[in-house]
Amino acid sequence: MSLIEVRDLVVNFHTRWERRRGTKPNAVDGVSFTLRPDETLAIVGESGSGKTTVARCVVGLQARQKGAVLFDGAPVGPVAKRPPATRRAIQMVFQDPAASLNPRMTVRSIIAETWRTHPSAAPDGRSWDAAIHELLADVGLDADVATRRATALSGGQCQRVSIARALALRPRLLVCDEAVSALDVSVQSQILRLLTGLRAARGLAILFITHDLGVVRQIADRVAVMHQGRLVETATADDLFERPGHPYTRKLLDAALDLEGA
Amino acid sequence: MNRSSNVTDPSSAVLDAEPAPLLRVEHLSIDLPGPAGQVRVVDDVSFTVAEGRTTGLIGESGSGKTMTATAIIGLLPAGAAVSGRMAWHGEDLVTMAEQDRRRLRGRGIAMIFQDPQAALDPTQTIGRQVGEILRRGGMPAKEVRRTVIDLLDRVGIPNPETRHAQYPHQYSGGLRQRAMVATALAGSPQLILADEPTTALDVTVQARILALLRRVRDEEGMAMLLVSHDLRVMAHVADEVVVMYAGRICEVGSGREVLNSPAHPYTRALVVSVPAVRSKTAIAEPLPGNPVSPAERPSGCPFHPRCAKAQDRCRSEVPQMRQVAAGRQVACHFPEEA
Repeated sequence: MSLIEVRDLVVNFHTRWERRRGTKPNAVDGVSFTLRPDETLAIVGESGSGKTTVARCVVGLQARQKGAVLFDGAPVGPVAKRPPATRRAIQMVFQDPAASLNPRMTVRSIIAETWRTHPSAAPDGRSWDAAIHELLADVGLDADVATRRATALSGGQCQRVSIARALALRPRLLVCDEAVSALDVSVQSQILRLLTGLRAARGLAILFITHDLGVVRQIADRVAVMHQGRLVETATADDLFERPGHPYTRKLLDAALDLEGA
Repeated sequence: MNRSSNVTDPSSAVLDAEPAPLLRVEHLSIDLPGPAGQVRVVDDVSFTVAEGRTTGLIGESGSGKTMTATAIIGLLPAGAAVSGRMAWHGEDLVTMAEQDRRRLRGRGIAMIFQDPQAALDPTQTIGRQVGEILRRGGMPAKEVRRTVIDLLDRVGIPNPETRHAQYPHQYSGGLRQRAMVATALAGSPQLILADEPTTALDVTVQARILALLRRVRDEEGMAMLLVSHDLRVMAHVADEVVVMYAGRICEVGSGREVLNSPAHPYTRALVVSVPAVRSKTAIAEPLPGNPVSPAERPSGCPFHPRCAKAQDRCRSEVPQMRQVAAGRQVACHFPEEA
């Protein structure tokens, strides 16, 4: 069974007047896809294509006009109305590593906060500090990072802390919105390695939102291409890159630059 | 395109190896005041930009690439201490009086910024901003208008007759960047500095802007210093590249040679970490650690803490630039075979 099913999702940001006139297009216009429990699905598209809005609907941060999001077969609404177990199970990593961490909190309290919100995920039978150090080790950070604040960390370190914060709740789905786009190339491959390692070790599903087709080719099992609010093509990564079916997909692939063959 | 493939053709490399240098940066160092005293953000940087060629300045955050470009255009923050030379038509930009600098800015050397949204004034029409330098030069209003419309047309903005009277918010991101290019071209500069000109743009738009920059180089014969962290962009437009790390240069050479067979371990790591779209590549073996900031530049070779080949010598002795092949210099004690 699929972990996530999105059915005929429609989202718009119309004013009342625009809605009445009905001429402005929807930001997301009838998007449907499924995501298996151990799968990495990438949603690619240009700015304004609606890919981030879809991700926010899956996490429940964005209200929808029509359609449904199903988690484990059960419909889920906005994050505030989701049962705690569902909220725990879907975690998000954002694009801007520094902006997604509270600058006034230490890394330790950033992670501990998730357990105060979700006591069911808190480590039992051992100290929180030990559990935090273990989490930091899982994402490749030293234990002494726990006492530091986000402002004292590099972009790559911040992104590792964001991932550790998500993992603290033992999620089943990680939604990564341009999670490596703001990082230096030499750091980007560190985080990609980390994500693929975690996926294998923990059986995580990943919804990966990006505009970087090269990264998609490296980590995605399947790819969904969005254009002007619609899904124009969904295919396995191999098929999409070798045999793009939709003219827009071909246009995207043609425009992408490679180091080779320049 | 033809031109760039000609100059990198090995048979013509000797002939084209020394086109007249337009700008010669020699031993440029920049110190900025930081919370813990002066920080050397650019350290002993030397390179040339040749007439009609595009030189790429590659580097990650903290490498000093943007500071180098900012020094050339003369817009460093107050308190910056600059040493070295920047030779430009027999003059030295480092010691040039601010008054002369101002005359040069836009006319001799122009700059295209990363974020056209931030670089354009939202309260003025595009036409007014593109034509500002012409108006200031005393060109009559009618002629300014005609020239601006012609410029907008040249950079591929559709309907320039109506578009020139519009405001930046009426332009898309790609069109705004085209307007920035038009603004830079307006003063007919000999050198354009472009700082991450396509980083904020979508891929399809990026490809068009890069084609435009190549056309500008080929048709107008303008030299360009392109600053970017994106090796794919460099591979497509740069004739020569300069790779920087922690304020110092690691490697200089023709774009094709440096990116095809990098000699510095850092350049190599950058090259292998670029994912390909047209073939499936594995995620690169990542470099350990993070790019160092110039404030915490380690002793010896700044790259040694992240370098797999580092020896004792790398920890103690700063590697000097040395020639490894024609037009190819590397600052490494143990360079790869180029």
